[in-house]
Amino acid sequence: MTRDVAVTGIGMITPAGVGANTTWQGLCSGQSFSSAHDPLLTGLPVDLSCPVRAFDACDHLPRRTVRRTDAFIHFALAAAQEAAADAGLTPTTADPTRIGVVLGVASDSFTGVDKVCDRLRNGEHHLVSPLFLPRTLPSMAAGEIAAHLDYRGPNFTVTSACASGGHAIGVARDLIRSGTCDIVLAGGAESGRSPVTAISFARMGALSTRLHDPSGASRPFDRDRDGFVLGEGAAVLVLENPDHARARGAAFQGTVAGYGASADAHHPVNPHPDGGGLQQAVRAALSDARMTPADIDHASAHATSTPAGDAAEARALNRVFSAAPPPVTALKGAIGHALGAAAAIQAAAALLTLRHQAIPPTANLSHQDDAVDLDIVLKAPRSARLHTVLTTASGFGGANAALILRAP
Amino acid sequence: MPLTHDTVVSILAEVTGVDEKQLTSQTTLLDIEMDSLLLVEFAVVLEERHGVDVADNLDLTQDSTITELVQAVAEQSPNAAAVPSTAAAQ
Repeated sequence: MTRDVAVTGIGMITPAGVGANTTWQGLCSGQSFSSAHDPLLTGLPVDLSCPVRAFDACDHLPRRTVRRTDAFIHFALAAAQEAAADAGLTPTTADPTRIGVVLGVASDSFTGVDKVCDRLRNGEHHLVSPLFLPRTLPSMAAGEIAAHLDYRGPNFTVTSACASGGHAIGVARDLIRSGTCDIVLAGGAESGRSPVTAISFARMGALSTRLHDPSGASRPFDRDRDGFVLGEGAAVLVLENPDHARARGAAFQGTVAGYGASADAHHPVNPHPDGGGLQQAVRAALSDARMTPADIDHASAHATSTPAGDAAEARALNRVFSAAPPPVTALKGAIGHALGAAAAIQAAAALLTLRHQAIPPTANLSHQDDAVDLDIVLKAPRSARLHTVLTTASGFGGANAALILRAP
Repeated sequence: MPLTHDTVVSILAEVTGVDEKQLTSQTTLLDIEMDSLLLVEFAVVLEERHGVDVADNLDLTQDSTITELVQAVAEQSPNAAAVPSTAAAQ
């Protein structure tokens, strides 16, 4: 029995586009989707963001659902529906009790929390919306997917800050390997466009303050990088037992060949300077996939565009791939940092990279940091023969996740 | 802002996400999947916009019609009109 788990469907809602194909075109354009003056962040010292554009949730979801749920749930549902359609899932495809949903979401969405706090302060308890929790809780995205698509298997949300989406796909993969599920919709969803999120990251010094150059603010691995830009979106993969997929004649988009997870055990929010935990996660993923570093054709880096994080990640990749690191890209130059969704977006984009046999460029990389000794794809997509892609993710708390996607 | 039959129906449509045109006087709360959470949300909006506090006083069931809902709201509100504004104009 193969240890690989098939990917039979992909769905993406990102600042680069609504839908996986549009996202792919946006990523290949080489442009950055970051802009200033986000109306949701008005008055804050940093109002840069990478919003999902041209997305009307009512085009994808019932209006009553849109009314009572937040943006991250809209993105998750739309991406899940796209992935399910892409995989050809119908109500009779599989026993619904054997279809799970595992999403990575980093945080409560915080939408409307200011209003709840105002009501509390004023003693107006009867004016607090009863929908506040159901619309903001991280676990609601997976729950809404189950309710809308009738998937009755295991349903939960993993949270490891900016690595959440990577862990979600890894854990979902294990649910299939173990025989618990035939199919799991796995990915991540988030919107970082909340004043609470923005001011909190800004106060930590984590956000780019390149207000004079909004489209150049997110610049992974560039010598002038100064922090990340808040993004949003969702990516959902249909993971499936390969025998199950073959039996129903589903097309393989690729396989999840390896997964590794680790903890830095170092600092609450700073990465280990040598990316020690990240190295460990990548090695674990390689071992899980029964591969060596030489088997990896391309790496999609976590690289958020913070000075310390990108440097640590570059060192980690240099250590693991001592002889010759594969070509690297960092999608956050284009789409900013979608937090809990980011690693899932990387994984979905990695599968599209394998489909198109081209590596999307790292937007805004003008002057590569001298301390970053990597072959980074910039300006335009690079064609290459690609069988495998490594994706990396790190989050506050010191959590790391690495995935290896293999061409079908 | 005076609370008319039409504004009550409009809030109901907004809270449930149901198209306002599909709400008739005989539509039931069950028809529009108005569960207990949405009923409380409806009460919050009513109070926020119209100062009508109905939270604990709406004696309704899933089989209650919109006409009955509007009447129940009107009983809690001195300035509410329990008849449709169109009917009132005739």
